[in-house]
Amino acid sequence: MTIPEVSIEEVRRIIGSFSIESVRNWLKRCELPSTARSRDELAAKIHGQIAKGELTLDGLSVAIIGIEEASAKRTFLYRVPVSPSTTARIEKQLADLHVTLSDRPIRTTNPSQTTKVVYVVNSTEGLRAKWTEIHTKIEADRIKRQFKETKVPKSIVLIINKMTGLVQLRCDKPEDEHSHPGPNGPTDDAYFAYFREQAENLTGLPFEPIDLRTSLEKLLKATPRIIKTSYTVDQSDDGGYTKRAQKQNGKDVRDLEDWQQMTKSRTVRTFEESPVHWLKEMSGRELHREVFSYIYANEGQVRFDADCYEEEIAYVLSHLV
Amino acid sequence: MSLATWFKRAIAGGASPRLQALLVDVVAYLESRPTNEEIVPKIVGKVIGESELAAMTALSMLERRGITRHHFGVYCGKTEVPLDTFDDLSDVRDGFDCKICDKRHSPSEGTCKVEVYYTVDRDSLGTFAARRSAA
Repeated sequence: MTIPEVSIEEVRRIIGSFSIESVRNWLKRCELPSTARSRDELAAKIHGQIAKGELTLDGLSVAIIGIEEASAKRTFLYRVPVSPSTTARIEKQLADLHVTLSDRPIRTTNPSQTTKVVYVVNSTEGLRAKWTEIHTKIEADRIKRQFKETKVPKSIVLIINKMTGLVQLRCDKPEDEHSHPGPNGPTDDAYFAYFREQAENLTGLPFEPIDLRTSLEKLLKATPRIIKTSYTVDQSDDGGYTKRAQKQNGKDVRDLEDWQQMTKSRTVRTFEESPVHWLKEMSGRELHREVFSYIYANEGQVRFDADCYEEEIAYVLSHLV
Repeated sequence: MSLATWFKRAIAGGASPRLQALLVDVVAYLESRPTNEEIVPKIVGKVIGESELAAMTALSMLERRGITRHHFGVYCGKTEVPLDTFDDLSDVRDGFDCKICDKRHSPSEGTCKVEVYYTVDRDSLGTFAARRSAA
């Protein structure tokens, strides 16, 4: 088999500005050497692996789309009814809006200040869509008394599973300036609300938010433990709003005497939020490493790490919804 | 007299009865704690009925005898969750990524805090406690 010649510039272009850690993590999953201290070193390594036939350019492109659509996302969870009428409604809405459908996910290119649809894929199993836009990050240089502005491309991904009715709206972290104003300038809430509205408009379906409080409680109280955590927030029926933190390195908040007392108490509590590390050894070989996610149970939102990938998100969500 | 001078004199000239009593209390507390626990001066002070400063002085004296070792923990200013730990204060940099807040925290801007804690060398503590009870 002949290996098509690929330039290192092409590899660099595909890797783009994604974090080195996320690309290295993908190489590790492919069981290929992944040590690289810089972006150039990483590009050279991947270029060499493609030349040796250990990787393909298509494989790299698919992996980069996966990183773009899964890593560092605030994932809002909703439900839509599972029924033939749901599917029919989506079909009609896409037709009414004259949406051009793609046959597979596409990588974001040329994002602009205004929101653009990158692709919409509609199949019998589900619907997947992606938008892109540019935000501006503003950092203050106190020594020079100047502000530094950086343009940051953002990707927002909608995934509807028509078999389960689960909807994921994955949003990148909002920056200081963007085109979604609140009452006094751009706000995070306005940005998230805009994309929920876009997603509902695209499908013609109202999204019902998922309350994760009960799932979080089950997760925190599960024995043997499948996660570790150093911080929890709960609200109780006697008016308490308690933030519990474990300040000692490597220890779990549930090892605290206070936690043990709380679990024996008859006071009714709702568990509002917690950062959790999903234990690899308790995942039944589904995880290849410990995975971090922050669960905002009250908002039905889960935040994932920058080097997270699709299968890890699926594992986390399988325990929450 | 500054605390440092008082401290040096106390070490050089043998501890005063008050200091001896303080050390006995702190050693008893350390012995009662589980292995690998991080020892926080203000908690020690509360347990033995002394100030945080007195507890810290005793822990520092024990460090000179190889029983304790100080560390500087960096904690998220919002949640108190540990972000990093250092043995030397000069190594504490001015920016820490906090996974929980998904923000960069800085001690100089007050978005995270630095606190001292101690770890215990159990072997040295055992030897020291045995010697003291024999005396």
